[in-house]
Amino acid sequence: MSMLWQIRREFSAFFYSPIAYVVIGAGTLLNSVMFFLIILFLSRSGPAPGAPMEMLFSWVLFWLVVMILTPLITMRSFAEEKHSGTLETLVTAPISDIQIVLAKYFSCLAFYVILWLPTLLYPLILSKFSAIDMGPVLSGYLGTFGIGVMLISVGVLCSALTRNQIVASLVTFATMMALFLSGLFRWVDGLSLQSLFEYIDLMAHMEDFAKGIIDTRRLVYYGSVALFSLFATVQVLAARRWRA
Amino acid sequence: MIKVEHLSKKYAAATAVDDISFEIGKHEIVGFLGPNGAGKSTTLKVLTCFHSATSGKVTVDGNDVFEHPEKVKAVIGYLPENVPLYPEMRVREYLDYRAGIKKVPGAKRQEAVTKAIQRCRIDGVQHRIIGQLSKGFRQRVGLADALLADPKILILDEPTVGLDPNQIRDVRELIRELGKERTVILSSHILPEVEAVCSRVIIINRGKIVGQGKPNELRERLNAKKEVVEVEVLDPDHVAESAIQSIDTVEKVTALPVAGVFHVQPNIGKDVRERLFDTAVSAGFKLLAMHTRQSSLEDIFVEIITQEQEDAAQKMGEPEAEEEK
Repeated sequence: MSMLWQIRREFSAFFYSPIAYVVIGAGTLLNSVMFFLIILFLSRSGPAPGAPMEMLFSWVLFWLVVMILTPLITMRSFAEEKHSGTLETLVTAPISDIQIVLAKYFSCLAFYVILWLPTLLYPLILSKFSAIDMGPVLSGYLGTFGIGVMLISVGVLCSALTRNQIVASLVTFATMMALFLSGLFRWVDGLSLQSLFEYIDLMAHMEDFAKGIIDTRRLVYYGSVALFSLFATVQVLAARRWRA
Repeated sequence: MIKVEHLSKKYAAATAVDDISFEIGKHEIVGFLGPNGAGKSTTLKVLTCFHSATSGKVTVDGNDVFEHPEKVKAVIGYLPENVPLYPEMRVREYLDYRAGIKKVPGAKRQEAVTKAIQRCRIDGVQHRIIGQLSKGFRQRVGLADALLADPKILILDEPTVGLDPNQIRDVRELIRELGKERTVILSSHILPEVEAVCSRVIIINRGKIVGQGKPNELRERLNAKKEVVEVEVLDPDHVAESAIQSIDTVEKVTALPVAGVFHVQPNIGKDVRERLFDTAVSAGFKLLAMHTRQSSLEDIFVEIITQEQEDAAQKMGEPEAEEEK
């Protein structure tokens, strides 16, 4: 029960601050521009390179939205509480560290989902003009959610490590870039771990999801990173009670 | 109710609390008294499971704070120093949320919130945004939060800081009332406060307990050796100070900044008032007033702290043999 109250508080806290509106506004704007460009692009004569929603989920601009906005969602979760001292009232209430971490994580994840909700209009609009295959659209959203499950947990961990929100968002951004870029090493010839890099290439993951290919290994990867980050976050929070 | 045994808390650079032990019983109001940085807040943070101790054992209501923090946190209402609150929330909304995470059952939640609001007299601001409230109201919102779940133990870190005199009186009254059915621990560096509210005082300095007891016990203990007679004299020839000093039962004479007023400290157990009168007559100055001054808790406090510091200064001079162990 405590945890439900905590989730409610965390989630409503987003909307007390202007950041929520800026993030949703920016996300919706970027996605709309992207959708508009894709439609323009596909309106040219000649063979189409793919379905519009497929292009939306696998284009480079998709990563721009994810990489820039995710740190803004997660940066305040712990850093703000540490900065203002409210962490002390929070952790001395009869609620466990795990519950606190999960409440913050789930409310950030819920916000991430809300960030993508306006894009549901695009397949709706498209379906007015032509029949669309819903399978790849759904798997594209699944991939977007999976990426969120992973990256939001990284952001929450980074926020727990500092009392400064800007530092939290920058470290989150750097860590996400590292996760993202390490996948690109697959293109470097002669590296011994090439096959490993192939597994974690997020861009390739999204290309597959956008085409309708659901590879469960990737979902397991996202889930594992999330579990690890959340475990680490609980430990960071509990560190104040460690004995020397 | 609360048992602290050999508690120490070391930070990287300094020792905040150094091997202290004390016990607090049911329905006691105990005051932690000490200068800033003495280790009061650190001790309270260990009791409330915010920090853990470096060594030592702390049990609250039969549960070890390190082993069972959930059980301990459930019986404690805590008002931290500086009263951290979420500035963007409204008062009632905040208390409602706090009651929720403190596991106040749904049916009783509204009632608990209303009761806490009434007790702390914040009815008038319950729909205002916390960030816009004055310091005094914020302090009382924090206090209301501590009371919400009707805890057996209240821990208040400097509960009256930033309040005006009327509010201070209200809060003290409230603490006294709450202490009837609860255990209350409060910390303060303001002596009259502790003297007015607490049934027992623990004086702490540099991480060590340097004195404890009932306020009047502490006073008596010191009064025995610290009785002072205040005299006011009319003394145009400036002979009084040396004349009084020459009385054989007088230990020390101190001239106060006010002209013609002296503090006369007799030898232990001696009454010098009669000799003072005779001296005035023989030396040729006139006694205008004379009374025995009771030392306040403030004197005891200053006395104990300065003595401590002198001891510490002496120790520093000695070779550091203890450190090697």
